[in-house]
Amino acid sequence: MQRMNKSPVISVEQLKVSFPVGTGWKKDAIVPVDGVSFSIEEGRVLSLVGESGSGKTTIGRTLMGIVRASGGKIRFYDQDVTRIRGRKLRDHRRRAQMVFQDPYGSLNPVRTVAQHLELPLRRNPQPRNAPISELIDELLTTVGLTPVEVMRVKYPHELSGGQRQRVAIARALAVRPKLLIADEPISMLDVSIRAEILQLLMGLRDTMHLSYLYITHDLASARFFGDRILVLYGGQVMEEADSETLVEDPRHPYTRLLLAASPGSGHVGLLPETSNQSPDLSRSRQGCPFANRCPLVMDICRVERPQRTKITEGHYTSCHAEA
Amino acid sequence: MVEDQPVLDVRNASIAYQTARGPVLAARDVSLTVYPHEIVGLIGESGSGKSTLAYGIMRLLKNGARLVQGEIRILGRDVYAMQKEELRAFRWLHMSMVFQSAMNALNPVLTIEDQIIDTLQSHQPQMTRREASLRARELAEMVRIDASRLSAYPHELSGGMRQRFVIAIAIALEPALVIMDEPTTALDVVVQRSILDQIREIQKVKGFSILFISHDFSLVAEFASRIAVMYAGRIVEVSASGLLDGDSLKHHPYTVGLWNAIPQLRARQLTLSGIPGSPPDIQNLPSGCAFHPRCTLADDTCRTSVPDRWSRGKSVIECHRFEVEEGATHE
Repeated sequence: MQRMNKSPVISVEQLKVSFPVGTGWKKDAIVPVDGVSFSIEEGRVLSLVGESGSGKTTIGRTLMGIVRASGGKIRFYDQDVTRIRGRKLRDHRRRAQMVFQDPYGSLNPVRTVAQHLELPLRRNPQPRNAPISELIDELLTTVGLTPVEVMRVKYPHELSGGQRQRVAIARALAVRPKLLIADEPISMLDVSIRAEILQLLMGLRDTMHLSYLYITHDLASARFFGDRILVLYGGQVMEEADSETLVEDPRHPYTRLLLAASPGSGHVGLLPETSNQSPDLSRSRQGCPFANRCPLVMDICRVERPQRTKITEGHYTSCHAEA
Repeated sequence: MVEDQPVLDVRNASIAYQTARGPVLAARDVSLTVYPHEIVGLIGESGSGKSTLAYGIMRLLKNGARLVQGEIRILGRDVYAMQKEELRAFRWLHMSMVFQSAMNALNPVLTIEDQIIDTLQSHQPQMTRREASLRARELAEMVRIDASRLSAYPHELSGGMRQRFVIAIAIALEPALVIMDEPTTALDVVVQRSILDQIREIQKVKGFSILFISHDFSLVAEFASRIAVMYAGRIVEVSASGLLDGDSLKHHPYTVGLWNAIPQLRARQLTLSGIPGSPPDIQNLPSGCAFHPRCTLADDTCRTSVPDRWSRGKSVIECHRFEVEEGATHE
């Protein structure tokens, strides 16, 4: 709360991504991200919550320029990064970095820990003129991979899942980014390790002045780590609020469903939904993506897309029942 | 419930994998009972031996793994004393298993209906195809899938539907014990919850027992009535799930660590404590209590001797700290 009124590191307006599907006369497109807007202020964490197919990973990849936006605008500080390429894109990736879900797939099996960090350190200007090995040790210490002289020479297969994820985080930090996009960084790790990685990411927010987009399917960790939570469904934002409000006072029927289904919610009895169909992502869809599962569905929900409605300051939902 | 004969009785079982460097124990001196109508949760991290134990109970051990000590009884019968044919008939009729990956558990070139009919007819040869087909419909209804989907092939179904059919096949012969090995881990939260609700509903009607294996503490705490916690091949604690909390006076330090390591949905938390270090390599276990290098309460005794099991109230805990506890009794 005390950090309000800071300028946003990244702001996304009406982001749209479409992927072509089919060929010939069956050629069509699906829209996994459709009109998503949000911004992240300096030093803050936004949790992006949704199930598989909700578009959360696609959004993260679009912010990194791995996937191209087909509509909308992405601004990084005051630069429009929606359609940049080449040198500008490389510069952008110095300021925004990503940590992937799978620490087994994101490291090169034939490179040591030190080699993973060396390249980004050499390629990017460092604030002081220290030898690379010193910078590597510093990074390793920052992410808790100690003793450094032992860890430096290890290969990925010699490390545990948690240690690999620490290497991935160190590599992301090597370019001194302002924004870290963490895509399910703990979901493949052992339960006893997860807390430490989350704790590490939280610590870095303060020491390295990082902002985060935390992508997850798990509301409990989204609440723990995120200042704000954005709930996605079928590529659209269903609800957005600060973490506590979202969990304690959810307004959108989908948020309520997700909460009721999450372990630890205390919900007993049947889930508030009417079917278990997956959302329609086709270009030609109409109305609210959640309409075919929503217990409160009305005629208007199937034809008209709900507007974003303000509930209280900072709490928004897109639902005809709330409007 | 204690007077009932247990459905599953694992007594001092050890399971070893044969490796080039000699046998490696993946489960060490494990004892666990499951009573009729009971859902017991078995939690542990990867490599803790929970799946090995499940395969051991089903006598499905492979890759050079075998039961080297102890016995496993289902409905009073020693699973490892059965002849091959006897075992084949016994398995699925009295005990069945739901595997983690529904895609691998189903045959990709047969329709779901054929697979259910296959299962039914191979165990009940007197059943006609027509009867089996009717039963398949009944089962589909039980897991709340429209009977028209029975003619689908596995790849035509969503992950949730596939897992529902795998569960239908597991309960097709109404076994006394169903082992579920992470049945919902690959699924979305909402699908997961609705499948678990259905399992519980069917379990209430049919009365079978479930051994539910998972790494998700908060999920198991809601689903099971008793929980066994496994660490490095040993069951370090068995407690009623209602009693679980982060109270270090009542539980094994590992249980407490796990409890404090997960973010709670309904609580405002500023920090998570986690457990320092990482799970041990079972080929190279620490001396004494295998958890001691990660335990904040460990002392010299923990480093040198393996703790015994101690009963305290409704919990059985394998930890030296409970030896001196008042009211604790030796198991």
